[in-house]
Amino acid sequence: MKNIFKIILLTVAFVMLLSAFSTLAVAATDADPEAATEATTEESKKDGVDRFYTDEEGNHILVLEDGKEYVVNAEERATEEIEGSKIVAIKFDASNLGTSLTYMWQGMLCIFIVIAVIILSVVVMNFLSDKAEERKKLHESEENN
Amino acid sequence: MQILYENILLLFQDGGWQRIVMWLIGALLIYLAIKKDMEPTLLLPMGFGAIIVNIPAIYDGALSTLFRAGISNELFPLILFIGIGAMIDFGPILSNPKLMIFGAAAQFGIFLTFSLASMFFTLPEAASIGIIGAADGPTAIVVAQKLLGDASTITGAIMVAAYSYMALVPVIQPPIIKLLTTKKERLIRMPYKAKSVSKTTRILFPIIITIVAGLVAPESIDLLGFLMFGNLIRECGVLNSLSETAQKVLANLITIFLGITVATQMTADKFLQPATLLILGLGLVAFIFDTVGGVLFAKFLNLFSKTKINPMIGAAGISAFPMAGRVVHKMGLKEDPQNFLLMHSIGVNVSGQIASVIAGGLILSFMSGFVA
Repeated sequence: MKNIFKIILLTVAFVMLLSAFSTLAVAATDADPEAATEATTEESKKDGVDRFYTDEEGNHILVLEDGKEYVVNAEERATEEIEGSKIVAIKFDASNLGTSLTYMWQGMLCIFIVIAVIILSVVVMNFLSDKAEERKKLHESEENN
Repeated sequence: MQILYENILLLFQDGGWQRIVMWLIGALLIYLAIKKDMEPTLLLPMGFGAIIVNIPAIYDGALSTLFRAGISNELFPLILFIGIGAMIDFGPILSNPKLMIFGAAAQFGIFLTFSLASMFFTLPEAASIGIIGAADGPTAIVVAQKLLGDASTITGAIMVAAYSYMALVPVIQPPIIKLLTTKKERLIRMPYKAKSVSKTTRILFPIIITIVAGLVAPESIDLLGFLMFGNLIRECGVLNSLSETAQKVLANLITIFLGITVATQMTADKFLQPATLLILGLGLVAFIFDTVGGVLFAKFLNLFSKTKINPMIGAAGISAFPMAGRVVHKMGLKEDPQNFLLMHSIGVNVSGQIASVIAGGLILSFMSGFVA
């Protein structure tokens, strides 16, 4: 029981550490694609300058007044240009957790079922093979007699 | 004269320092491969490849050509599986097929990591990170390539995590096993009764497995099919030269290309991201919970079983063959010098190889809508 309790504690601690790490990563980059998109639309409308364009790879690029460019995608991630390098922020988003947990139990169940079928196949193969060996030995002993 | 220094000047421009960091990472992988003997067949080519691809002004060279020829279409890992299949002896699990169930239990870490990763990445990315827990390089490459494609920024990190942790199994597993088991459980003896397996069974096994797994998880047919083809070449008894070629020449040749080509994903802009650290952390979680899944399942079975099972063998279900099996055997000997768990643990280890490939196929089936 003590060991199981330790495992549960360690798991919870690790998940909390991961969440904290991702929150720090998001805070460090301070990128908010939705706000950026809203700002862009208003800015574009305000002075008529097209500050929002799509590049060759299909990424939506937002250009702010100070010249910095943001890549704003439909996904949860946002990138920020810092001294010519791109840093991809990690955003914590539990919306997919339900789906992935469903896949988790379904996946484990499927693996157990497939392995059980394979075990059954091997047991049947071994059984038939043993029977064939016995018949062969019986036939040989009859021939010798 | 300008051509002599214009590339060097690039090191002092955009992203220059990051290339130098990647050179150091490449050097670290080479050091780990040579000095620490950590999966040298893969970490050394990956380390060297990481240095090459981060030299400024390298655009579309031979490595990119090799990548398109063998990694984009998942050809290299599949061909490698022929060699791996030819190396594996399924005798221990054919004589005691019940052990295969532990191979299934030890894939728990894949799906748990998938769930954890889904909170930080998209579903296809989370699935590709979860498959690190398969502890099988070719499976991880195939799944990651199919789900993420060439444009992925995390494939390099996934590969480094997969191969590094495979080499670290002797370090990762023992403390987890000790945490989950009591001294009394570790002392459980499992006598081995050698049972011969007929040649017919050995030949039928790869064929039957391919059909069964192909019907249930068609996405796994590439991986499992090639693995079982290699095994059939070995077991048929009439293709000894092909079997030897597959085990040695083919496997070594593809390993060389695979290692150095996978490194094309280790460019500074893709690798030096916060996501890389998170992926390395999640990869470790996958390996830990693979071990947890196997051991806890064995303990669960002991509640109902008259003949007690040493729960340590559950940990051997992780697909890092043959390291996981040897780790468990050594731990058993340490507790009791008369307790020989090798045949059981190797059998479970081999079944983990099959189960991990099936898990990869299931992941691809679940993610079929996301295939790149």
